[in-house]
Amino acid sequence: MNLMALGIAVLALVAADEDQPPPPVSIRVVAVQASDDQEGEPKKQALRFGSGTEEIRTAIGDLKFDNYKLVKASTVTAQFNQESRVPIDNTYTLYLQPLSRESGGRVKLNVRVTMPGKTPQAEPVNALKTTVIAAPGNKFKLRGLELDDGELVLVLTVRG
Amino acid sequence: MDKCRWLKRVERWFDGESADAQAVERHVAACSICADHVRCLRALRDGTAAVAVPETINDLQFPAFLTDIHERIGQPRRSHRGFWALASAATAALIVAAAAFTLMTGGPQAVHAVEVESYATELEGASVCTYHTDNGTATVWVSMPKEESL
Repeated sequence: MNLMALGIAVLALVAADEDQPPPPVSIRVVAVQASDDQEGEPKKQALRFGSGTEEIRTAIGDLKFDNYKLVKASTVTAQFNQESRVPIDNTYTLYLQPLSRESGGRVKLNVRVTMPGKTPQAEPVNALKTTVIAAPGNKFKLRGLELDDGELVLVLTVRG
Repeated sequence: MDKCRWLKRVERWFDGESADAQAVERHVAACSICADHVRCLRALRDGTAAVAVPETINDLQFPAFLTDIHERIGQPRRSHRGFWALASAATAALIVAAAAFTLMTGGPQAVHAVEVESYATELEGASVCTYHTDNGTATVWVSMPKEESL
């Protein structure tokens, strides 16, 4: 009888565990504006990295801009199968949606960056939408969207 | 077992070393023990002689014997050299083929810590591509048109 009760308790625990959603994913987001001093001019001075951009310098090392200015840095806790909204500036908004855990602790993730439509009534436009599988601790970046006189660069790191 | 004190003398007589052969012969004829012993010795001698017949090559057989030896000396030894040469050539060909395949296919695909499964944009005239930097950072790049995209 005691064994049967123990078995039922174990089954209940297992079932409860299966019902639990996977733990949320922590994602580091750093947004910078990359720009050149004067277009067409030969580059004479050293690159200028603004305060707060230290953690992403390796990830943006391939870019050929003169200045990198921090726009936003935050750490997002994203639930699986739910979109987490991260406003970047007045134009762009980042959405993060973890989809699944993959082998080796990697996380499959939907990422999209929206911007307002052509008219105030129009729906926001997906300026960029991508699905990545990221190993914890490894950075990836989204680049190319216009930001003032430069380009928006988003560096993301899944932390687990 | 019965013994006779003449046995030693009988054995010497049987080997042809007796000084008084006639006396021993008379004794053997009269003594059943010694007569039995002589029969045993004869059986033993006959058996040993039958076993110890040496194989000999007589003069008539000798030329054929030498001819056979010369033929065996002249025959080439069985060798596995051909097999090993073929195996070496096949191994070398396999290595060359694998190297050529690796060179022509660009080698095994690098395993990246971040894989980009899909990418798209809804911006008019814009395009998207993806690449990995030298340090392995996955990058999704929206290329905007020169003019206003919206």
